[in-house]
Amino acid sequence: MTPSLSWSRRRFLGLLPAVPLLAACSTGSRAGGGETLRIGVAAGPGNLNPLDSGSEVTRWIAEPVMETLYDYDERLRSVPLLAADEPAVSADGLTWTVPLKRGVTFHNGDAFTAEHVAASLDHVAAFAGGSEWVVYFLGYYSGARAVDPYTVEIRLKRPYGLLRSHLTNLPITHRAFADRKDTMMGTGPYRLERVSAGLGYGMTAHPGYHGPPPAYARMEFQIIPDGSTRAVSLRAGTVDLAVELPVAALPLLADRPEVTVHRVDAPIDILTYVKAGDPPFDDVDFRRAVAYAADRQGVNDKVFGGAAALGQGPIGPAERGYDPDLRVFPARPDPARARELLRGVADPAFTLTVSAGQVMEDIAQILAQGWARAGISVKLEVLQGGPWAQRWISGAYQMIMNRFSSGFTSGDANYLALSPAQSRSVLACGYENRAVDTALDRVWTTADQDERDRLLREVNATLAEDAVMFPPVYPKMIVGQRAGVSPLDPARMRISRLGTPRLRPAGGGKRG
Amino acid sequence: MATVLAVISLVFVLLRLSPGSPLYTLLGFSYSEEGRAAVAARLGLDASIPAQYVRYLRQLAGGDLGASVFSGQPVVELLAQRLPVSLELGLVAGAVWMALGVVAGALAALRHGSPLDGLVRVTSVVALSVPSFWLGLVCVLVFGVYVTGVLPAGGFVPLSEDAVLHVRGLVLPAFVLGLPAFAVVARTFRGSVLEVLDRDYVAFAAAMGMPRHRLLARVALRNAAIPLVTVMGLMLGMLVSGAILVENVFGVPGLGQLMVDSFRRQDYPVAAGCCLAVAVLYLLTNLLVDLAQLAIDPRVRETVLNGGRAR
Amino acid sequence: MSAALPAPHRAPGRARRRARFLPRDGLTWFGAACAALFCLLAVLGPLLAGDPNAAGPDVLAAPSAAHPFGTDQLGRDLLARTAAGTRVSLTVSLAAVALGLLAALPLGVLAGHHGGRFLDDLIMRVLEIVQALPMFVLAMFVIGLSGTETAHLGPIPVTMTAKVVLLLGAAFVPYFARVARAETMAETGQEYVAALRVVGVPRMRILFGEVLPNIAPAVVVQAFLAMALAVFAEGGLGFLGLGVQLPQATLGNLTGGGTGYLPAGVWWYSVLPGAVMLAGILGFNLIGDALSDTLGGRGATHVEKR
Repeated sequence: MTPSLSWSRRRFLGLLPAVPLLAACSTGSRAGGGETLRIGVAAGPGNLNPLDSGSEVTRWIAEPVMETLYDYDERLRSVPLLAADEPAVSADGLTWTVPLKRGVTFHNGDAFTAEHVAASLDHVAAFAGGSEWVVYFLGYYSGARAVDPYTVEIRLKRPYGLLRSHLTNLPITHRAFADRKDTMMGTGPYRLERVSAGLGYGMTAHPGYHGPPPAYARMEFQIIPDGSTRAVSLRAGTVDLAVELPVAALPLLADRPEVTVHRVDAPIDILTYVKAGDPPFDDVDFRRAVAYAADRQGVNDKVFGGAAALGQGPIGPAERGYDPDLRVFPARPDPARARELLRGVADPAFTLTVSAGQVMEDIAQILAQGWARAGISVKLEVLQGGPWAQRWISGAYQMIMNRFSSGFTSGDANYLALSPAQSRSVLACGYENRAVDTALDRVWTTADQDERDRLLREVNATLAEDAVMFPPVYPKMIVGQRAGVSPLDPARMRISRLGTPRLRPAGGGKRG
Repeated sequence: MATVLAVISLVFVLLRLSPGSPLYTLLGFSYSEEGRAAVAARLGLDASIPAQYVRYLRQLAGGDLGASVFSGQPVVELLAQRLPVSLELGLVAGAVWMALGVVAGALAALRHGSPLDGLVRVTSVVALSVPSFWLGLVCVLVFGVYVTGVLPAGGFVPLSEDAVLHVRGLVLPAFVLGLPAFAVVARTFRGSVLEVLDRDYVAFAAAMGMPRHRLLARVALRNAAIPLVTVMGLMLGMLVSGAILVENVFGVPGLGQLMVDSFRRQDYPVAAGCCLAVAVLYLLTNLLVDLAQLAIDPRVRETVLNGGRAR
Repeated sequence: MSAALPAPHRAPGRARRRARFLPRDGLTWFGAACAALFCLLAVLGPLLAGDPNAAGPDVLAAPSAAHPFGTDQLGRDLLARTAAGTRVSLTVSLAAVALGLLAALPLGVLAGHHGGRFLDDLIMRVLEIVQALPMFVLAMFVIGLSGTETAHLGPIPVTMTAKVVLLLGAAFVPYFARVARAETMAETGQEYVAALRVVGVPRMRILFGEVLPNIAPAVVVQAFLAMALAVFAEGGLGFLGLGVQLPQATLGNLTGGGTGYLPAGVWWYSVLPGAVMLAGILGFNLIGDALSDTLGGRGATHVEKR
């Protein structure tokens, strides 16, 4: 969920061609009769530690390597994986005891025990670890200890129902590797063997895996920065799977029976915040005018090929609390309505700050045109990841946007993206609404998922109606695969995952 | 040495003055004052600027360039991975193209005024003018979309994995990268050969009955090579800058890409390490150029031996 | 890139005069035509081609009568965007070269006048350090650090365009200064300077009233070559996303913006704006060459490394 994924891709080509140049990389690797699964990704993450970074690419690479205490089943319910059973929660809700599975080994041969779980939790809860998870643990987490090798006890400062979700999404690492950022050590079916700077990542099957034996002998993640090139590589068969396919490249894959393109609703957000505490966005009519004049349909058509869902509030179709019936803003800009709301505003103007990257830049330019039609002049500011995050955190923005994927940290929800609406959040955008504050607090505390969903729905509607967060669209996850690989699991894709640990060669069509 | 120190200081000051901070990138959503302070302490960014500077210098003296803020990998290790790739690309591009440039320049000068001369001049001025990244894209388009299967238009294969694919993968990047070097060398050499041929001592040697081929090889080309060596030294700056763009067009994981990436991520130690590597490379080449001049040009040799400054 | 571009070593005297033959002139005319086209596109293009940010329904359309350069992914006319980009390119390059000259000439003339002495050493040393980082690295460095947003130098806002101009200008200083220094050294050795001094003309007036005009031809040659370099560098920065920012079109960000569509056969998006850039660079280079032949005199041959 690093808000900085897009910049590493910007304008950086590494245009891999449609020539079978990478074929050789994989032919030499058919150890033990198995095959190699090759996946084209857009970037090589700076930090390989999935405990630190929820960025899609880090976690895609981590998927086959690292495991979590609980996993999602085909209906996205949480079921034990490294845990042996559901956690036992004390009556005051402050102590969670998790029994662990026995007979699990890390890739280096060490036994999987409670102290590794405790070390993983301690790492993400520590400030100096620099983990993205720290916000989730801050103020709630007190500590974890190994009661015995196969029982871990988690102590909390106050009741924290959302912890159950975290235990399903937080990878467990070897304690000696908790602070490493250059490699991964897990218990998953594949072992990270090789990191080639700027090129990719190689994995081999872990013979001692505790689950069903891995279907491939090897797995390779290849870094192919350019989206169209990933599509071309998929077409040519030099990769079996390609993620983040741009809509413009999809025609390259049309009429190819051996290639399937999945477009799935996933927890991917176009984060859109306005600084509601400062002019001009402190005026709710100004906010609404801007929201009414946004060209949602234009963004959908030109940037997402019509495949995205039109945006209203901050919560999208793959996230808990989504309300398909919420209709506050029109698909096409409504300049008349906007001008009406803007009556009395002498010179409507603001600066839109977006992160660098083709998708965000295109969105911003389309929106700016829509706003221009309503008489609102918008200055565009494109920032790289670091400076973008700095602006966002320091609150020095008027309107700010970025692409953000939350599936790996919160599954089928996006809790953190709502934080800026809380008046006391470090990311507060200046919006003050007691009801929203209370509701979001409760979302984190409660153990009742139905209550949480209801609250999220309410907050979503309020934030849309008050025009505090109004993303233009909810993008889909677009992944392409070849017929030589078993079909990707739709449930996993719904939470932004590829499900690589369970993929296997399929009979349909020999690979090039 | 003073120059290296100055470059180090410049790099350091600029990096620390920059408004962005890796802390923001690193912490992202989880940003908080406490967290910032803790991470800053871990990275040593909480010390005063002069203190950080002194520590940086001390580390450098010990051959330690620090570690990436993100991956924790030592910068020396990263440079060791990336620098050879760039060096190979640069040397291949430089050597092949400069050799061609020398040949083209000499031929053009010797066949002065001929169509060949004109061709060399047209080619070289065009070669000098073509923006490398644009030519790279045209190559990608031609070999990636229209004429597929002849040459890989991108995608780097390490030498250790497949030597043939590795070399094939270098062809287009080297072609694009070295082209300006060809142009400069050809132009320079043509000019200096013409100049030398015009000199009295050449006329004298010819009048004394020295055979033409020996005259050319011994006297003219040797003397004409002196400015050439200087120009070749200048080429390094071109190759480094070119490499930044060309590596990115063709996806070659070299120093140029590392440098761009680290700047974007504001990975201070890596960015500084890259700049330092470039500066050291530059100064080394200059040293080599001076030595080469010493070897070729007796006048320079004399000046140096007499304790004067070779200017 | 062609940083550190030395002026072509030209044969002086008789050899050069011999080198005058028709193809040379043809080439020069071609160069002048290229440069003129580039400048025309920059000056008149934006007036004729319409709003570069107006989007139409045709997305990624191939060149046609309606859109001679095709359209981009948002349906904007690429001819209009290329024209707007050319204008940016020309403006930035002119400003950068002017800035470089303004800063470098006094330095170079002073250094040349004090040839071999402390001031000369100091100036040349500092310039040498600036040069140890290739121009492009320097530019990337500063922009990578200060970000692509408007920076503030105290109370003065420095826009991205200004940043590019400043950086390129700064990078030109060492080259211009060297030429000015070498020329001044040669010039101050001439008899007329000694004569003027004997007559009692103040030193500064000799330097900036007499010497400066005499070294102008060599400087003009360098200025044209620097124009070519500036067009290239502005394009390269834009290509990396480190130049003037969207939605302003620049030749570099157009070339870069189209790269993602190349594999799908969308050639016009990257290739045509790049070709315009090539025309500009080629034009300025050829004019610079021709000038160095006709009025360069010593000038061009003196640009050396140290």
